[in-house]
Amino acid sequence: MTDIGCPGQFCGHFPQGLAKLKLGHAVGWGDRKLKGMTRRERVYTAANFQEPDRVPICFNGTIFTGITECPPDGRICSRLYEYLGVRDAQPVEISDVFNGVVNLDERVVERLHSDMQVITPNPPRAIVEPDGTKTWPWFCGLRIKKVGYHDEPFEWPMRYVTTKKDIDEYPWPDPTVNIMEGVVEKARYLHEETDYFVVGSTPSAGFPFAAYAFLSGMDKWLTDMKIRPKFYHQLAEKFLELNLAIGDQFFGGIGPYLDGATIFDDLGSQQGPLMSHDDYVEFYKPYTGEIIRNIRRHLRPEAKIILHSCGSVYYAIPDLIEIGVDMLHPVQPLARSMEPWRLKKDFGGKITFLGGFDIQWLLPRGTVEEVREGARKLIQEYAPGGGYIFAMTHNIEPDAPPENIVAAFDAAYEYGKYPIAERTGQSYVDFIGGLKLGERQASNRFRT
Amino acid sequence: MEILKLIADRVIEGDIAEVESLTREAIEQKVNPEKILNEGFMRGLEVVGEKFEAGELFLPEMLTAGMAMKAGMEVVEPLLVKSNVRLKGTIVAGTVVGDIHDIGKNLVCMLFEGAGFKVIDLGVDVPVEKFIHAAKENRADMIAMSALLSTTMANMEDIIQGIRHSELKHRVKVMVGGAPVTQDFADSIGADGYAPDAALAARKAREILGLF
Repeated sequence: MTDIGCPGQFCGHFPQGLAKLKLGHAVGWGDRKLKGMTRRERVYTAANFQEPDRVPICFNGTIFTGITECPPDGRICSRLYEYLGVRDAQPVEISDVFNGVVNLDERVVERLHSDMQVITPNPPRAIVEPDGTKTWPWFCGLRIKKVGYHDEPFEWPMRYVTTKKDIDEYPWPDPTVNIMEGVVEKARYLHEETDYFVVGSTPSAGFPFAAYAFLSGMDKWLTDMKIRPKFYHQLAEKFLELNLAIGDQFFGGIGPYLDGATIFDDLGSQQGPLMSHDDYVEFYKPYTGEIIRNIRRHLRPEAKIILHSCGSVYYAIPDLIEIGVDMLHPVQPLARSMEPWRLKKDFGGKITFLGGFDIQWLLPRGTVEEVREGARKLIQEYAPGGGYIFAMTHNIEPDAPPENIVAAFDAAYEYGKYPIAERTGQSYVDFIGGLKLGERQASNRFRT
Repeated sequence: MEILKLIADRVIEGDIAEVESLTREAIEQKVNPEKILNEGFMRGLEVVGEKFEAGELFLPEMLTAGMAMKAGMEVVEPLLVKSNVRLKGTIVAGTVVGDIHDIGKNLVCMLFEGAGFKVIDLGVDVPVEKFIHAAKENRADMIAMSALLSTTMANMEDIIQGIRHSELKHRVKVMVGGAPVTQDFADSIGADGYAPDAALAARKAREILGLF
C-alpha cells in the first residue's frame, strides 16, 4: 500500500520462540529434506526463474511482509494469535516506528507457510520523551508520534537543513555504534539449524531517501531536487555514507549466513511515478546502485538483493534490473501499470516478483472465498515459470480480519503446487475491481 | 498580455524567483491584479494540472509550481483584497483524523485556489468537529477530505455522518480523495464527489458546486 509514504517496520529483534517450538512439527533442516525441497531451495529455485515444488511464500521474511500491532484498538497481531489458538506467545513487541511486530511467534510464521525468515540488527532504540513522543538519535534524530493507529515520523527535524554548513553541523549518529548484539549468533542459527531462506533487513537501508523524507518532510525531499539540486546531492551523499558504514557492520557481520538482503525506498505513488524518469536517473538511481554494490561485497554470490518500493514503479523496473535488484516487493497490484499480468509479460524472467496480494481492499474487505479466489488468480498470473514469491503487499494492518489472513496464505499453499494452470476469466486486478469492495464495511469498524 | 504569459510559463517551470519578480513587474505595469491571478497563476496551474494528469509532470514539478504560485500570490494578495475580487466559493480541506499525510491534500488545495476558490486548509489529523466548525465559521460551500491509508479512509464515513447530523446537514457538499479511495467507496459513504488526482479534483469541485 501507498501512496505517498510507506508504513513499514523498522528495528526488529530475532523472532522469539524459534528455538522453543511447541507445535510438534518437525522443522529442522534434516526433516525438511526428507519431505522434499527445503524452504531455502524452494525460494532460490523460484528466484532463479525455475519452477520449484510449489510457489514460495513469504510472511515475516522481510521487514515489510509481516504484521503490525497498533494498541489500543488495532491489535491485529494479538487477534491473529487468538484466532490461531496461540495462547502463550511472548507479549507482542513492536518496532520504534510504524508498529511492525518484531517478535512474531514462530508458530504463526510456520502456520502461514513462510519459507523466508528475517534477521534485523539491534541498534539503540528510540527514546520516549515525557510527552509520549519519541526521538531516535540512531536514525538521525527521527521524531515519532502516535497518530491514529501508527507511530509515524513527524516534526521534520531536518527541515531547516538547506546548506552544506547545515549538513556539517547536524548531529549525525555514529555509524560504528554496535548494532550486532546477538545478531551473528542468530543469523548463524537460522542458516545452519533451519532451512529458512534468511533475509537481512536493516532500517538504515532507508538512507538516503526514506530518511530524507522522514526527517525533512516528503515535500522537501521532492522539491530539493528541483530548487537546490547541488544541496540535494550533498545531503544524499551524507546519508549514503551512513548507509554504507552501517551496512558494512550489519552485512559484514552476517553476510555468509544470508540468502537475501533488503533495501527500500518509494519510487511510486498509487497513480504513477513519484518523479520523472530523468529525475530518478539523476537523483536516485546512482545511490541505489552504490548501496547494492556495497551489500554485494558481503554476500555469497547466489544471494539475492530485494528492493521494496511501494506504488507504481513500472517506469523504473528496467533500471532496477540494470543495477542488480533481484527481487521486487510489493508489486502493488492496484497502482498504475502494476497488474501482475503486465509485469509478468514485460519483466518475467528478468526480475523476481515478491508480493502482489492486495491489502488495500481484498484482504480487509473480501470474503474468505474472494480472498482465496484472489490468491489463486494472483498465482496463476505470476507463478508459471517461477520468478514469483507470494506475499502481502505490506505489513498487515488492523483492518484485516484474521480469517482472511489465514485464508490467503492457506490458499497460496494449496493453489501454489506446480504445474500452475493458466489463469482463465477475469484478471486478478479486474476481479478485485469487480467485487466493488468500496461498498462494504471495513472490518476495523467493528473493533474489539 | 505578454507578461501574464511569462508568469504562467514560469509557474509551470516552478521558477519561484522569476514568478515573484515578474509579478512585481506586472503590478508596476498596472496590470489588473485579478488578471495576474487568472491569466498568470491560474492559467499556469491549469497547465501544470493537465500535464500531471497526462503523466508529463510529477510531484516535484507540481510542488515547485505551487511554491512559485505562492510566491506570486504573496505579492498580489493585498491588492486582491483591496479590489474585492470575488472568489468562486469556499472550500474547507483537510486530511482526516488519524492520518498525517498531506502532500496530496496540499496539491489539491493549490489547484482549488488555482481554480478560483478560497481554501481553508485545516492541515492533518482533522476530526469531524474541526471540519464542521471551520465550515460553519467560513460559510463553506464544500468540505474536502483526504486520506492516505486504507485504515484512515474508513474514518471518512464517520465524518460525513457527523456532518449530515450537524446543522450543516446537506447544505455543505463533501468531496473525498486519497490514494486508496475509489469512486464506489465515495458513493457508498455518501460523498458528493471524488476524484483520483488533484487536477480532476479541481474540475470536480467546480462541477459539484454548479460552476463551470
